Amino acid sequence: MISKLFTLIQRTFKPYNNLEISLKILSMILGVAYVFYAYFIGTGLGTMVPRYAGY
Amino acid sequence: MLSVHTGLFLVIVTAAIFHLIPAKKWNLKLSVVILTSLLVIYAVYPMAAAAGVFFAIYAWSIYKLSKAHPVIRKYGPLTIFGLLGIFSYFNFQIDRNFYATTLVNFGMSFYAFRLYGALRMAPRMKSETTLSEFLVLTLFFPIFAAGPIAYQDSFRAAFDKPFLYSDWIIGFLRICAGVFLVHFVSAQLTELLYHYSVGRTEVFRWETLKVWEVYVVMMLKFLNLYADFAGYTEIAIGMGLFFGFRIPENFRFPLFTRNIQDFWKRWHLSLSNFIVTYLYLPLAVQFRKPRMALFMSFALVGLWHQISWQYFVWGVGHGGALIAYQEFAKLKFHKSIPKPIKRLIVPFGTILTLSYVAFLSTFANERALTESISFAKSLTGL
Repeated sequence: MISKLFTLIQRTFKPYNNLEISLKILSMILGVAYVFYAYFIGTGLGTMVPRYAGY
Repeated sequence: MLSVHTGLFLVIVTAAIFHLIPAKKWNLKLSVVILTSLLVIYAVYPMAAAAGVFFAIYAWSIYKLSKAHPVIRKYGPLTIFGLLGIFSYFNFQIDRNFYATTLVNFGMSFYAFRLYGALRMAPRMKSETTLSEFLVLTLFFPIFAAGPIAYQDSFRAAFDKPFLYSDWIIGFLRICAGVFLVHFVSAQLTELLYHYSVGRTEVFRWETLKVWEVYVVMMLKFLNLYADFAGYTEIAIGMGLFFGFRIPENFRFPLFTRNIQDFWKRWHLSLSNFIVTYLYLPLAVQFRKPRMALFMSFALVGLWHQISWQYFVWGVGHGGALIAYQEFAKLKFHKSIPKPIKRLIVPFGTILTLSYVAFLSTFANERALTESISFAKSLTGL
């Protein structure tokens, strides 16, 4: 299942090099960990309105 | 204010209904998305919802009229920018609430570009662009306030492809990555910035800071902008994937940039594509002076961000740097430099480019021209 997911991510970011794909995967892993932490232990996921909208 | 988990819940429910409706009923499918988006935007600020609907109907009318009138086909799409100017000005006069004004003005700025691109693209599409598609372009709430600049082809991807469970997985992962960037990375950077600011605000007394502190603040502000903007783009792309929409990528690791030309191939990609397709190329063809076209394009995009001297400097600064880089790249002495030395030079190019871009960004985002000048003086030690 992990390898299927990895293939899927590779396909999504096709033009990216290995370093860039690895960083994307890292940001997703950190993201999932943070979302679970923020939702169940922390103060929630925050708002959907960007502070720097438009730049 | 709409929270991420409410947004995610709405997206999941709306996307489920969207996928349950047969593919042939494309306009009905889009109506579900429009209705949810309209409710979300209306709840945040009713004026934004009204403006979105008005702009969509206006663009659709131009599209319909342009079929019979070649003059409207040629100049009609440009009137959207006139309308944008009028709306931006009057909305600012009506409501001095910064949050509401920012949301409406930036929302309008983004969908004006989306509608302009959609009108130019419409004659080349296989089938007619419907009113529902124009409405989705203006109102689809994940891309409303901060882009990316997508056109009807991004949304039609859902029409051509059936439901893919993998889209939901990648969509969820990208939303998580976006939330992490916005609510963790950007939040931490903001806390760091508070060490140098006046209280817990993003106002700085530049003249009281040392030169190295001004440089650190400038870089932190730029990183913060990147984390916030890239994070929201990830959330928008992820939410789009729940419907099968292919919202275009907006960033490709701009911190790995090598030079200013490379920077614009990594930063705000949907905007740079728009600049090249709808500003630079027509201007270059019209005037037959590519350098001048490049310079004018960036000056105009600077003013699109905000009609101010600071953003004019931002546009001119980027345009000028791109021209200077192109001239520099033409010089022949590059070829005589051995490859290992070239590799050693690359990190200097990265630092120089990011510092320059961060300088222009901080200069442009100050509240007043006097503050921008104070920042520039403090950075140079004058």
